[in-house]
Amino acid sequence: MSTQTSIGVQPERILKELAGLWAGMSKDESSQGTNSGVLRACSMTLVVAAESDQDAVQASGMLAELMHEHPSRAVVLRPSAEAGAMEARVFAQCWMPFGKRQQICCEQIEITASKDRLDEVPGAILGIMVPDLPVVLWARGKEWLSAPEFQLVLPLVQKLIVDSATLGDPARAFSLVRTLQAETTYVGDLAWTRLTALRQAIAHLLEDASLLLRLPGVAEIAVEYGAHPVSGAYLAAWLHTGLPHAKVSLKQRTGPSLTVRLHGKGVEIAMELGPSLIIRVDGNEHRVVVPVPGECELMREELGILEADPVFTAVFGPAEELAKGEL
Amino acid sequence: MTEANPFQDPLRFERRVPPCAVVIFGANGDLTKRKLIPALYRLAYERRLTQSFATIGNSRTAMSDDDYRAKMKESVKQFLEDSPFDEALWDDFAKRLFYVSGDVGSPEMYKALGEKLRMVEQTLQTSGNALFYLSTQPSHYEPIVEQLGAAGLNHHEHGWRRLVVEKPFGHDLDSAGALNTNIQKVFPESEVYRIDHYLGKETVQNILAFRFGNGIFEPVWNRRYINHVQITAAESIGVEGRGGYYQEAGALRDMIQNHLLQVMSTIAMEPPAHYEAGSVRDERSKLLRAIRIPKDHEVPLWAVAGQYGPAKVGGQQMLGFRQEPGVDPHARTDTYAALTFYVDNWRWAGVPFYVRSGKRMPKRVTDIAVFFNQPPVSMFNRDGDAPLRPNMLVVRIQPEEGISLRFLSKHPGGGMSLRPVSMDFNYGSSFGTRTPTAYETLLVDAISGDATLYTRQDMVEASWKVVQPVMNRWATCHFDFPNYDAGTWGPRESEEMLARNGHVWRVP
Repeated sequence: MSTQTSIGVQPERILKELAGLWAGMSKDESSQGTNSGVLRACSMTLVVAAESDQDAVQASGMLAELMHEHPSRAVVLRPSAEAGAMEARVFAQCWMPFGKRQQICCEQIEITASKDRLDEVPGAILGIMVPDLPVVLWARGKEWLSAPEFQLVLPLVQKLIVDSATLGDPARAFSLVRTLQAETTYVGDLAWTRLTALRQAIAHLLEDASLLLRLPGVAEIAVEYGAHPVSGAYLAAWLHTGLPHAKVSLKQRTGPSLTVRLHGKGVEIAMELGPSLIIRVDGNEHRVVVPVPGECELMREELGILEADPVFTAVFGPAEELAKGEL
Repeated sequence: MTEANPFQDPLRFERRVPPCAVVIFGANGDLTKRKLIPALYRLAYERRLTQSFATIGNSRTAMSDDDYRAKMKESVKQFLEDSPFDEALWDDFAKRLFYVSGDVGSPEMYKALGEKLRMVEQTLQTSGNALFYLSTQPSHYEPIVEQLGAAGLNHHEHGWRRLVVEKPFGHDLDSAGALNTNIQKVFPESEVYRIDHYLGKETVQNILAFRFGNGIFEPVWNRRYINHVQITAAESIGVEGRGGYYQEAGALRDMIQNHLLQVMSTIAMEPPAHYEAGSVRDERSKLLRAIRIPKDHEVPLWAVAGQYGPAKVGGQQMLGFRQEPGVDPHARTDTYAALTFYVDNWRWAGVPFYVRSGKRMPKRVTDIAVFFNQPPVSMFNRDGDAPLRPNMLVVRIQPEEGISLRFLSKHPGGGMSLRPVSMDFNYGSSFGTRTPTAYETLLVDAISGDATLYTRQDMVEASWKVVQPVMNRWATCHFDFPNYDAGTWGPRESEEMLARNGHVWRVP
């Protein structure tokens, strides 16, 4: 359920409208004879920089899902092709938790801005951030990241989430992420998040005591990627950080999206990620279902980590070098 | 082994259990049907069980594996909380669910169980690891442990063998000591997991996060600032078909000796050096050992027993305890118990901890209320005004888990009139995610070898020592039962116990 009202973009006015929205919702509940009221939940400010009108609609749909687990004041930045456009609307996203009588509601603010008025956006965002709670910025695409006005927001952001798979050439994508890492506290990359299920399957496979003992024998790590070169680089770098003595190679291939081979004296492990993950160890074949997460699941995972991510930090440098062909 | 895996990512990977077989004795009982199997299914749903996992049930009823699977399927459908039932997932889970029928006193049954364990070790690669879960009547605990030892199932060449014991851990101090001695003849203490499901509740764990993860509470968490603490565990239901068991146990044994003393130890313990089993359990144990043991003549002042009588509640006639099915019409069981505890250490000297638990109370609620001292000078009070209400912190364990802080605020308008207001944190709505049940948490912990949330032998014995004088005294008393009506907050004597210290039970 959502209710909405359209207003200008002065922060004080937006905040006043939000307060009015809450007061109105409480009255609605009372007039319906339900005494449970609504519960406002907020654990962060989540700013979503959409690439287009359509993208903003898609992102709003995801926010409705994400708020169940990560209740937040969501601010959706919606670019407009119409010159001089600048307006804001406030919504309440509400849901009734299973078996409960009280609705939980989160706030959503949508700011529509044309290119010529982008410079007004940082000021609006600064005024409507929820005090004392983390601010997360989800940049959906590279348009916003290159806008100079956007740089004003970055120092206030605890975590910036990007998807380097959408940032073009892998070497340039890594370079851009590295630049952003210097501008903000933490950067999360959905191209890395996309690998969690696969990495987990590999880690669990290697928990087998007999395999674990043979890992020091791995002399070569070979990763061949299909569609996602950035993810390929991340995966190869992650395997390399676990087996630093092994030589690592990264190649593009046609066919199945990803293959991994770990081989050396007394150990031969091959993995092929297609519709499922096929693992061949010592001639035996296993199949593991590796779910393909949607963007919403990826965001859910990233929003759960508002702290340093040591594994990602350790992998990022080697992945960048692999993408440049330097490792 | 896990530590040596260079590919672990604890921040992102779900904590999965290692390969193992869980053997449940009492596989046809209520606890298994309502809690254990639904918890294991839910772990499978969350992909936290490996393919190398098996569950083996045992009870006396003759059943095939398939019969048992069908029965458990119905239980999971009925008792699964906050989760959908997935047919395909159940089929996969059921392939790893087996049954061995037989009497727990019969060596033949253990032979069959040993064969089943070897079978799952070979076919499902459970690595020889086995967790034996005692979900039977307490009188079966010692025979089962003895037979497991006699059959050699208590150890394995490569894997581990652990024992999970459900409460009650004995029915008094002596029997708890004897049970521990007999268990330790077969399983070392490090492999014994005494389950107190209260410790597995998210909100009880959250007490540790609240106290030791925040800097602002610990400085005031002592006798200088805290006036007294009230711990309440109230149930609105009666004995619900457990009359036979309950009339032997009573509220003191059933709730206070175990659950509520563990909750109290969590609220009052010193900060552990690390969040790991040894440190946390050492501090809990130290706190339990610091509770003053009442002398016989102090028991009437510090402890109140009650039993509910019939009453009309909400237009419905409620039975008294003695009228419940299966209950002796002259039963002297305490369906209500309230105790005052003092902790004789530097932090808590002189601060009363009031603990109460009862059946057929006005509502189901478990919470902890920490009452702070009044300000030294009441500058806002006029002559003749009632004293201002002190600050109070309430940790709600169930239902609607959360934390509230009561403080005073100026009432809008002219004059300086103060009113209590409450600042609420609602655990469920702030995080939105489903919280795992206590049994999910505790099963994963036991299989993973993490005993932090399990009670240790010395903790069990320390908590029995605290209540033993009360049990001794009550055994010789002739109470005028029933002494409270169903649907009320307990006997008048309980209010009097607090009134002697100038305190009043809060209404949760």
